[in-house]
Amino acid sequence: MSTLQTPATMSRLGRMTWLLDLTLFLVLILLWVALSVATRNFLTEENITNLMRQVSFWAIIAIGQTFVMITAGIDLSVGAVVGLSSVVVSMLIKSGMPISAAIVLTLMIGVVIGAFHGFCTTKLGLPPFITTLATLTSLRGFTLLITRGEPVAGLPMAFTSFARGSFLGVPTLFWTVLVVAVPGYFLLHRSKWGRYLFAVGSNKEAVRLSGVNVTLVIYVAYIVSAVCAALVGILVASRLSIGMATTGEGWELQSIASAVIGGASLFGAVGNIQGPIIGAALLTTLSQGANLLNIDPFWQRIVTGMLIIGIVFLDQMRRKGR
Amino acid sequence: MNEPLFTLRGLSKVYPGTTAPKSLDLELRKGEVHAIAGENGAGKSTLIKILTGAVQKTTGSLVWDGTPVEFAGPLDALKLGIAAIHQEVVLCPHLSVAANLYLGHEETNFGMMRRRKMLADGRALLKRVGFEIDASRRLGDLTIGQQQLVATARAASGDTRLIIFDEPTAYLTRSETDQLFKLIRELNARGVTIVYISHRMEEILELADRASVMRDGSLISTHQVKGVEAEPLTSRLVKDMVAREVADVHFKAEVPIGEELIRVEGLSGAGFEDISLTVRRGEIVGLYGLIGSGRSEFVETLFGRRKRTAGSVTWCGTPLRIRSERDAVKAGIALLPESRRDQGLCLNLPVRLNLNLASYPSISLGGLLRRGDERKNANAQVKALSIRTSGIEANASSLSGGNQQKIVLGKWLIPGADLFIVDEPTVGVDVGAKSEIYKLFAKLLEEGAGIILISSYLPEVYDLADKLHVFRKGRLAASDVPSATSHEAILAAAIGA
Repeated sequence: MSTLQTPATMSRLGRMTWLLDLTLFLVLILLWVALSVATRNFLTEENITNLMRQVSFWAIIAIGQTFVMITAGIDLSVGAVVGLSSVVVSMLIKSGMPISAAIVLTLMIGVVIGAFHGFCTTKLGLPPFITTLATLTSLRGFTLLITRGEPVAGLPMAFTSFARGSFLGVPTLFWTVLVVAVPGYFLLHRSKWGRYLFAVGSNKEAVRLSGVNVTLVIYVAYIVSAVCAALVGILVASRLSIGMATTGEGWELQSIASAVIGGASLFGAVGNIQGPIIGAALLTTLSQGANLLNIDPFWQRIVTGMLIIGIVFLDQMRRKGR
Repeated sequence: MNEPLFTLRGLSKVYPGTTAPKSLDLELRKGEVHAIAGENGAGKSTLIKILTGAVQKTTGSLVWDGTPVEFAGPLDALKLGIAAIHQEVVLCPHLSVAANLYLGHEETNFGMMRRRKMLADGRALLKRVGFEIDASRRLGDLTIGQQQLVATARAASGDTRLIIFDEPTAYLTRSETDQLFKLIRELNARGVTIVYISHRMEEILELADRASVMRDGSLISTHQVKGVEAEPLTSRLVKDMVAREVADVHFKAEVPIGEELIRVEGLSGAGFEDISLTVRRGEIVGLYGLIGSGRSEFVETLFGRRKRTAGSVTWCGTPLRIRSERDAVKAGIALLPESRRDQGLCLNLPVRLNLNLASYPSISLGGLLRRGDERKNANAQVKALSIRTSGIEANASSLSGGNQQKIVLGKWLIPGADLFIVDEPTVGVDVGAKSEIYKLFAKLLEEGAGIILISSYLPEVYDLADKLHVFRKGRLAASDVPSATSHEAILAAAIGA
């Protein structure tokens, strides 16, 4: 046992995370290759663009979910926030508000919801599962209430063309993933807040006793998640050209599945930025591929479930061996 | 008594980065009390895990009562009659003491538990082993020491032939220790073999027939203890453990005492009342008392973790309101908590992160972390404190108890502090690491810091403290004990005799 720290031991941790991500990425490529061979339509420009657009929604909420999972929490309200924000931004724009103002205001709603979750978790001491479950139900109800179940239609081209656009051959929607992922990476891995997020997920008490504002750290995690969901709601409204109260139904489970497949642990202190993106890409590919192959959608769900178990099992093995 | 019960030959366990134990040969005889001493990281914990079947050996042979055995899991060892009492209690805190005593072998009536009988049997068992514990109480409501006694009672029932104790007296009061020793002697008289792992020389001398020393994974020596003179045996044992002369076990530096750092007046809170004391620069103020006497509650309130109900704190002459841990840290107070596992460390995160946990604001520029400084800080502490780890990226959980404690200390050495509150800093820490920690205290004092030392080990706090206060049931039983006072008198104050 030496006190020397060799380059080998230093990067061992980093290397192992990279290995999992690499494996996932390879599985993804393999799937793409298989689908290109098995169907005529997969490897078309239209289809790949479509795929990237769909991936971007799930990837962004999965990144937000990862932030929360790293603190050993969970955010079940994500799908409901997507629905709420898609409706709110549509209503604001329709009422004549300039698009940028509407977007900012909608994102602010995300901040408020995230802060509420943070408050319940820290000051009231409620388990995040319960708090976000409550928000999930009530926000969805609220959204249905304000729309009376009707879609909000008639959105201007200026807004809806964003989702259809491309930049340098890549859909703008996918670029938004990078807009979220790059600052997210710096926040999570290159800032003290990131270190605190991991530490809180590992041992909240130890962090508190080190003189750190644990309350603020938890607020940050939930606000990031809610704002990611609010952003996705705006993007979906742009894509669909309408604001619908039922948007995002079930997406909280997608965000959790993507995050878990991407390597985040429900027990906290494990996770990164690229994992949830790859996880979302895998799930979307599976879903799209199944459609193209005319596989019963019920099989997709079974496969998703098996995939989650398989990946998490492999991850446990990897961690035990350390 | 010279017949072998359990013979270990060439026992090794290879882990990535280290091999401990290493090619170990040991013979445990029937009916003996065999002490094992050694520094943390020497491989003692792994040895216990192999002997109880919790961990698989890599090479070597185990011969039990003349027959070679292989343990596929803990159940195999249990069936042979091997039991272990660990430092961390492995029982169910939400269940009653009686339920825990019979966990796994409850008596049932067509599948339904016979609760009343279990309670009565539990009471009888505890009476028989001589422990004054109420069998109907919830295990989690007992002190850690009492919980360990319940674990011991559990092992003492049945057809146990070998019991391994891992630092059993760390959390026990004097009277509980006496109860335990009485039980050990009784078990021994019944022919049960006892393996007793401890750093406390006086206990080894009192209990053991023979003692072995482990160092760096190998078994260094085995000595006859019973019937042998205390000196030079003790020196021999210590020397074998650290392979160097340890001149002063309780290293006390002569440091000039400076101005007043903190003055506490009439502080009261949950679990303690009306505590007043001062700490000056260069001074160690010792708080002695039995476990549960309110010292930890007092310092946690001082540190802002708990709410105070009365009293005031003056820091360097000006009044200080501490409402949270952040206030305390900002003022220049550091706390090394009693339970490093629960409160001091993020076990599943790297050493690097744990060491920097109190320093991140100082190595961040704008929003960004200076990762080079983060690594530099961590490496510097690992070197300065001789922390044995396979690297700063290793998880804190992979380190031994003594090295984990060094991390908790190192965390505060990076930002520095004026007042260090250390709560039971050397529990579960071996002689070598202990003296390193004491030398560190001396260095802190030389640099003008003050220390509040909480210890339930009287020899330690007696030798180290400049000022000694005795706590009993949440109050000061004795304040600023004169240096000529005897150990017995101090103990009497602590137990209220």
